[in-house]
Amino acid sequence: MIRPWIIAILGVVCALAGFITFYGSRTAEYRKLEAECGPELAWIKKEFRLADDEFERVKKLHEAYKPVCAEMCRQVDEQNRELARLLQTAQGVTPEIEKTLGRAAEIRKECQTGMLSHFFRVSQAMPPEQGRRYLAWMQAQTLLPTHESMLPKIGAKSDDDRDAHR
Amino acid sequence: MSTKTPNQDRDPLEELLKSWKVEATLPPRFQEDVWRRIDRAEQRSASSISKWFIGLAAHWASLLRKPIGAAAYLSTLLIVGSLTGVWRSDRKVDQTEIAWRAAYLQAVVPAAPFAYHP
Repeated sequence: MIRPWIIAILGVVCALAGFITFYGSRTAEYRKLEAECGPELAWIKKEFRLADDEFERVKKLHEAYKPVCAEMCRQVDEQNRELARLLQTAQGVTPEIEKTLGRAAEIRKECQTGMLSHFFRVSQAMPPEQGRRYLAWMQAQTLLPTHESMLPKIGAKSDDDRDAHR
Repeated sequence: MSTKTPNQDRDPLEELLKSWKVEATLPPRFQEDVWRRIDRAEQRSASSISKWFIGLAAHWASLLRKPIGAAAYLSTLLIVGSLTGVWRSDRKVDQTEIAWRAAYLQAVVPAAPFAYHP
């Protein structure tokens, strides 16, 4: 006759075994994918169900675009800093501010053009149906924001507010 | 000015109470009995909780001794553990996909001018 406390412990072991088996098996694919591709590209491969050769093409395009994107980010930051500096002392829209805004608009245009070109190239590296889906999703996320999505949400605190309360 | 003497101020009830003597005697070992009863009442309330736990444990033990009770206990815990695993893995998968999507957008979208809502 097995003692009751042994069965009680065995029950806990059973519960742990069930948890580990199901949790492990259902997340294994994600862990493997993230280890192989990194978090950025893992999403592309999983979401658009890319075969290995298609994924390799997308990966090459992604790696080539990353430094271009970083340079654009640097230019955007530089323009934002310049604009913030001018606005600190300005009483109205000065010619300098106008010039900086013009330059910021140019950079924005360059960024959007570069980004959109990259999206097209990536979509062409995918199977046609997945490419169309990718393009539609990326455009919706980046270039076609609704007016509502640009407005701050009611009750949501801005980053500045949060910083001020720290 | 009052002209009453101290004897005239005395309350008749007070006088009566002073003259009253208790003649009844307490039962033998009265004090000891009172303390014993208090002690017993305290012990009864404390042991009712521990008795409840002991009873529960004994009930569980008797259930686990029967093969059908042990099988029911083991399979219940196995099912609970497995369902928790499924539930937690679903949440983990959702969170991972959101994080991956955000990481991709961060990598390909130059920062400021674009509305970005992953």
